[in-house]
Amino acid sequence: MSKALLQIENLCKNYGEKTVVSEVSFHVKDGDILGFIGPNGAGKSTTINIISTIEQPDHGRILFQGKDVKMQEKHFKKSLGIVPQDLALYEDLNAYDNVHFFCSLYNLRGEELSGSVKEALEFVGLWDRRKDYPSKFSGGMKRRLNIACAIAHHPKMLIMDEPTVGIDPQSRNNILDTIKILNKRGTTVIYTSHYMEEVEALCNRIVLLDKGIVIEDLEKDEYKNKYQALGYETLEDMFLYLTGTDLRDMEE
Amino acid sequence: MEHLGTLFQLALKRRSKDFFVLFYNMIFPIIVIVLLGYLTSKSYSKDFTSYHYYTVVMIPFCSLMGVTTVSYAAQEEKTFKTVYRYMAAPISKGELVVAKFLSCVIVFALCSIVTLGISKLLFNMEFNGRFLWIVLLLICESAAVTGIGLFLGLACKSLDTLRNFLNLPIVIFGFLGGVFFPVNFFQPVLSGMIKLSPLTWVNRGIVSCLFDNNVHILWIVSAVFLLTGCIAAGLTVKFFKKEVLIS
Repeated sequence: MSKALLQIENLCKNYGEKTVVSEVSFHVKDGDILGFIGPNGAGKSTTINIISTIEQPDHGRILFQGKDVKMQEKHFKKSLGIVPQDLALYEDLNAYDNVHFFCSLYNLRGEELSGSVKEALEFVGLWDRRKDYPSKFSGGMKRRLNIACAIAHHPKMLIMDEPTVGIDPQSRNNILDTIKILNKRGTTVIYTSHYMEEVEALCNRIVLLDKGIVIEDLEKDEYKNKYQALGYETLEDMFLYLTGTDLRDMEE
Repeated sequence: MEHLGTLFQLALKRRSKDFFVLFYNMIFPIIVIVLLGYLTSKSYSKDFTSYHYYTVVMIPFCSLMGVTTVSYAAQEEKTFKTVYRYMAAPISKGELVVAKFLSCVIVFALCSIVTLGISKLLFNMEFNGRFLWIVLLLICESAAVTGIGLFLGLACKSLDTLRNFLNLPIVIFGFLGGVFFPVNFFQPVLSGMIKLSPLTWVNRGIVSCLFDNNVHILWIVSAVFLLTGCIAAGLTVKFFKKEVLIS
């Protein structure tokens, strides 16, 4: 059994009087593709922001390779790749320059840098379009460029926040294949999405968050044994069973 | 500071292509100098024309108006949604602020210097060999403007409200500093108010330098501007709020 690469312990976050994340604990093993799911307003984005060191928790800690992230923030950040839900690209830089700039923030220089940029663009199938600007790209190509910017520095762990929103099935398929290949190459992935069939097909572990609390944390096999026996055939069935069918029209 | 070069290069590239910076620091002042200079041309002498007067007062004024532009530039990662990458990358707040600070100072100062050069050519303005002193003052003013703009953009959470009112005190400073027309009050309170405007001292400094061969005021004003810029940049690093960019 592989070791925990990331250990989340009792994370809490309040915004004023409102508790957004409450005693959230789970772990991510080396080599996992962890599906981090939950309805709108469940606290996923806040948890992801805390893991990414973008926000500070009010309480709790994060261990990376067994050590507190606060003690090794620079090393942790270098080991982390982020694919934000919004396209985080400069429209006035071409595809190559976008990847080159963001990759250079991770201390890569010279040939190592240019080699990594080329590798990332080839990996997402955009090397031939490297001189084009994002404004000329389709939604799917922009999403792939968004991924290239996050993987060029070869992160040990990749956080992907709904990377397939608003794109056609072909691009989505391509992105899911990309994630599988990355994972086979040794990248651990935390994957959030509202597309349950994607999570089901891609992830080997699932953490379900609702109202700031982890309400389920299990291996894919465990979920099949536990919930399919109860008649909840798909992950979406389980999701609706555990979180209810009430609309969540709240702000994230 | 290992990423400073990378961040600075991109920031400089972006600032030098920033339409608002180029327009409001080069084209706009020239238009206003020509317009106001023409309208008041009969009120000035042949040696020191209305065009010369408005060159002296308008370039520092437009530079000061740049506080608003810098505050927007400070938050450009928010606009492009790239802020998550910056926040997650192993770069420090200091590197980010210093890169923005240096790039803005360079581009703002260059814009002011080019405008000054254009005015010299267009209006035959004589600097009596003291052009570089004026350049020094404009560089230092750019530092102050950038420092304050960055502080407002990165350390103040309620900037959106503040920004709407930001131009008001600058325009008042401009009025008191004689940007629109020369002002002089004999009443002590009003006379004291004139002294509160930084543009009063900038204009006095330039006039003393050019016509009285005295750089004392200009030197002090430059030092105060530079100090203000550095302190404001330092405070920006100290009070930098991530939530300003990610909210």
